[in-house]
Amino acid sequence: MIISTATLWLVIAGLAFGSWLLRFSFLGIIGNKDLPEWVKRHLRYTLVAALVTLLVGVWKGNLMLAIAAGGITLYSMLNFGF
Amino acid sequence: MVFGVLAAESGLDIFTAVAFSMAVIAGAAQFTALSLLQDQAPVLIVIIIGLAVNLRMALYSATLATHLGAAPFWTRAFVAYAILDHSFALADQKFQNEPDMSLPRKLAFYFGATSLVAVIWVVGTGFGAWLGARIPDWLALDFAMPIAFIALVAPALRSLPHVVAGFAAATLSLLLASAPYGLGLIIAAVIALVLGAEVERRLGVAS
Repeated sequence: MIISTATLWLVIAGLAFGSWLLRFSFLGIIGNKDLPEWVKRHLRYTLVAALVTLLVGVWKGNLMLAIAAGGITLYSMLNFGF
Repeated sequence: MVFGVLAAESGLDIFTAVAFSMAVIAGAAQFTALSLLQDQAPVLIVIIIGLAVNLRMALYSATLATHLGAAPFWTRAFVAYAILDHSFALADQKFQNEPDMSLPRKLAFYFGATSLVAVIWVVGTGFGAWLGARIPDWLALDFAMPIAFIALVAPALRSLPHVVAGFAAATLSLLLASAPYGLGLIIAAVIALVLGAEVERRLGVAS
């Protein structure tokens, strides 16, 4: 299917501006203000929470998911000794 | 590169595909938008859903603000433009492990990490669009992304609260996979990070 040029550029412009706003949101507002400790504590887990979620999104419904989850468990057990 | 191939198959020329990647630089949102466009979805819906996929960028923004908030306005504007999953992952881990880094060094590390990823993303799009459908299926390029994410996640699981957050994210995103507009992703991520923080507080460990 060929997508019309005008539609496409409208979507590109909208996504570009919207994505930048999302990315700038907190960097812009918070700036150099110090955040309360409980907020900073939560933000330490952004990385793990978001990446694992993305990973599952990419692989959902796939057998490989089970293998990956098992692999990550094993890896963290070996390395952190829980 | 996979995006480029998909774009070519959707009838985009190389210039448009590369412009798309340069302007938006967010793989998941671009894939979503392109497939919705192919399904003839209205422009506004395409943009809103594409942005919903990108909501996690606001979380990255808040997290990076704790590290780079002291930078001048225009520097922060550029930091924001270049926030990507991979460079955020590298930078956040580095800054958490070395809290004493000076701001110029943090910025240098961040831009070093992110410009490499961004350049590969844009050049890859062009290359993929140029190759188009000439790439054989057995190369299984669609596996590159999950493999890259695993490599990024594994070292990030470095304390019990991190592991809890990781497992919560995995479980919740599976349960919420049927949520409309890909919103399950952001909901699962937010609950998971709250859980991680709660476990850290109860254990009384600083990470």
